[in-house]
Order: sequence, then C-alpha cells, then structure tokens
Amino acid sequence: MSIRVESLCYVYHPGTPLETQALSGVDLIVERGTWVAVVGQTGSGKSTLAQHLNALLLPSSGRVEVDEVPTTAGALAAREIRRKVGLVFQYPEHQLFAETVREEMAFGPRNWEFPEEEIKNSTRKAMDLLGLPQELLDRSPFELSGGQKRRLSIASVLVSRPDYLVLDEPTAGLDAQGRKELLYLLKRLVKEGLGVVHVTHDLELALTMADRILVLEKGKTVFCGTPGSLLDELLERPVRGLCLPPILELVSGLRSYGYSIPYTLDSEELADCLEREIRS
Amino acid sequence: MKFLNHLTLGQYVPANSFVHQLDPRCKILSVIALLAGIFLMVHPAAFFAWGGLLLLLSRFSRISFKVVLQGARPVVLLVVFTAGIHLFLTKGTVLWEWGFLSVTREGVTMALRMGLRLFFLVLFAGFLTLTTSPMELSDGLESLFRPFERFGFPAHEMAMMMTIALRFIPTLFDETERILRAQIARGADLEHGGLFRRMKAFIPVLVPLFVIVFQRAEDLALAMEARCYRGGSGRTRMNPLAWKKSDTFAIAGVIAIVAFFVLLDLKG
Repeated sequence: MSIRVESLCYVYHPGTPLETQALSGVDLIVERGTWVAVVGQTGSGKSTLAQHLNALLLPSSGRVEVDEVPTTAGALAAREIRRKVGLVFQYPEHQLFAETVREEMAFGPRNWEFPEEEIKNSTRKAMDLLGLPQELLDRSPFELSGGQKRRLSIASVLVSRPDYLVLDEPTAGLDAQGRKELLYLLKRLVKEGLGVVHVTHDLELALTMADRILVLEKGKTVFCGTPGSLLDELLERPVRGLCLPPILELVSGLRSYGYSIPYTLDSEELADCLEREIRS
Repeated sequence: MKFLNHLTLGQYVPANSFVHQLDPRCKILSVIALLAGIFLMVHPAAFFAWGGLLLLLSRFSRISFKVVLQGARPVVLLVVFTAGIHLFLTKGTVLWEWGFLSVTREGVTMALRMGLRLFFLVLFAGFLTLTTSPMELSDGLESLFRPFERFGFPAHEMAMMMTIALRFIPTLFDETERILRAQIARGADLEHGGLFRRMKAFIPVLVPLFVIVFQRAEDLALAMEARCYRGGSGRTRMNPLAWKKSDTFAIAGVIAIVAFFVLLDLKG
C-alpha cells in the first residue's frame, strides 16, 4: 500500500507562450506509516508534485499510482483517490466557508457520502487530535483565532479518514508553539499508520522529522534518500538548491577551529558537547 | 486539470508600436469617434471598409489579427442572438416562411447590420485595451474627466478605483482557482448534477473568495493610508501624460476617415 510516482513530468500551459516544464522525471514512493519530506526552493515544483498525489493535476507523462490505482483512471477513481490522499494546501484556513465548525467538518465526509453517525464520530476524533475543544462545534469558523483556524482546516481534511496526508508548508505563519504541536501530531499520526508527505523549504525541519527526503530543483530530482545520507552528502559537497542549516554551519565552523563536535541538529546536544570541549 | 479559463477580453498586449506609443487620451477619443462612426453605419456592405480599417490598425499596432479577433470571442453568442432576433422579428417583404417563423428582406439587412455593428464595436473597443496598459488607460480617463471635477465629479477617485479593480482581476482569478482546488481536494463535486445543485456547490468557493476580497480591500486601504494617500489633490505623477504632434495627427486622421466613411454611407 503506497503512493508511487514514476518518471512524472508536468508541463503548464502546453502549446502557449507561457509553456513551462514544472516537473521532469520525478520518482517517489510514499509508504503508509512513513514521513516523506519534499524540499526545494520556491518554483522547484514541489507544490505541483503535491497536487499530482491526489489527482488534482494529471501527469503530462509518467504515472502516479495510489494503492495501485493510477490517478488517470477516470473521474470515479480520482474521487476515491482524493479521499485516500488528503491534501492540505498552503494557508488552508482560506478554504473555510461554513456557518459553523460542525458544518465545516462535515463538508468532506458528506461529499464522500459517509453516514451521519460516522461523520459525528469522525468529527469528534479529528477535533480531539488537533486539540480543538468540542465547545467550538457551534461557533463560526471565522470567529476562531489564527492558530485554531489552521488546525480546524487540517482537521477538516483528516475527518474524511485519509490514508495519506499531503501538507504544503503546513507550519508557515504558525508561532513556535503551534509549529511544534503540529509536527508532534503528525509524528503521532505517522506512527498510527498514516503516510505523510510534507512539502517544505525548511531543510532543518525535514532532516529532523522525515524518514525520507526528496530534494527538488527546477522540477528535477537532486536527491532522494534518508536524512542521514542527505546529511553526509551535504557535508561532503554542496547540494544544488540547498544550503546547510545554520546549526550545521556552526558545527562545521567549530570543527574547523579544532573542536571535535559531532554533526547534530539538536541545539541542546551541541551545547553539551561544546561545554565538555571547553572544560577539557 | 484546468478549472478556470482566463478571460482574454480586455487584455493588454505590450509591443513597441506607433499605436502603443500614442497618448491614451488620443486613443480614448479616437475610439469614441470610431464607435460613433460604426453606430451611424446603415449599409452592411460598408463594413468591408471597416474591416479594412481594422486590418490596417492591427498592422500599425503590431498585434496579430488573430489576437484581435479573439477579443470578440466572449460576445459571439450575443452577436448571434441579436442577429437572430432581428432576422425573425423584422416585418416587411417575406422571403421565406416556416410555421410562425418568417424571414423578410428587411430582416436580413437588419440582422446583418446589427450583428456586424455589435461585432465591430467590440473589436474596435478591444483595440483600446489591447494597446493601452491599464495604468495609462486610467490616467487618460482621469485627465479627460478632470474638467468635470468643477461640478463635483470625482475624476481621480474614479480612475483610482478602476486601476485597482483591473489590477486585482488576475489576483482574484488565482485565488478562485486555489480555493476551487482546495474544495475539490475535500471532495467537492462541481461538475455533476443539475443547475441548482451545481450553483449550490459553488457556495464553498464563493464564501472564502468574499472573505479574501474584503480582507484584501482592507489591507490595501491600510497600506495606502500608511503611505499617506489622501486622494487626488496635489498629487504629482511619475510619467505625466504629454500630448505629442503624432497624437494630433492620429486623431485628425481617425476623424477624417470616420467622416469619410459616414458620408460615403449616407450617399449610398
């Protein structure tokens, strides 16, 4: 059970002066219960890739399969794929529209014709997961705070019980606390068997959270593998489209001054090592 | 998958041509003269002359004729409808009859005249927006309406409103597309069902769009205030409009051609 992307190419506005190749030959496998980060700069094609995973965009060439069903298998298959693969767009709070939180949550499941009883249970569960109290159910989504709106919009995707969740910059515009909570939640969901695709430009975040990382630049795969091997590669030579996270810059700077500190992304570990080095 | 087609009506096509470089005021007045001329046309045959003029204009402005014709695409239905109404509802000598439908000689002439008139109106008016950037256009309008400020007409405010509206059309298109995708990702089905069901299906798109529009308007107002915008009085411009000799020639030429066409048409 996985999402398979095979030599995916996508061209925007084919046959017009605005024609641009957004993706060229991207391969990716997302298993359930794993966290895959897609990293790249603005315009690297990562959002385009995200929209292919749930059949919002169809490949110009190559193929995308969700649990062995290709996204090009017709409208009915696409609908089912969209339920299986939840997509949380950038700034998802812009999609809120309903009069009450209850209605907002019921939008997706109703579209997929869940029975009402199941919608109720699923709503309760999804709201608990995202730390939204049940008292909010009768409030207007527009009355919520910014952080609550973000969590509600993610809950409104999770409520349809997707098997995979694709998130496009889910932490953009959240404060440090909200960010931490969201990442922690995602980690938990992955442990419960959800496949997560996390689109981000934050390499440090990807290195600390993901099981696998895909690095895109100008629509091409630059790297695909585990965080550990990406780290090794990064330290050996610069990888196109990426720069070293500040903490690693610091470590390599310290090492060049003769301190023997291991490469780490954990600031506390770095502080401990540094303290030991200075004492000795 | 493409959910929205961008509209081509009134799109600016930048180029370095004689027409592009004309003063916007000259172009606005010329278009008014041209449109007035088209309204005065009586003989359908006269539209050959107008068609020739259109070709000439497209050459002068270095905009391909295809692009010019594309501008009329949104009104094709309206043109056909208008022509049809005139074709069947004008009384006179009957040429052909079928049940309650009858086509008369006068009807044919009338249908041609009205259809072509509408068609050419749109094509010539299209030239204005094809060759004039929205900025220039609103500058030109503001300058033309300035004399009416004496009677309390808010020329500057009107021009500013127009500029802002034009500026935000593409942005709102992008926003709409984004929201559409987000709702489709949540299982919204916008393509099936009857008219009423489909209209209802658009509520989840329209509500967020309205929210965003109001938010943007407020942000923009705040940003303008923060930059000390307080209306038109005393504002200077970075590129003040300058009426050149070529503008005088162009408008004189246009008026002469229109007058010539109209006279020719009146004589038969």
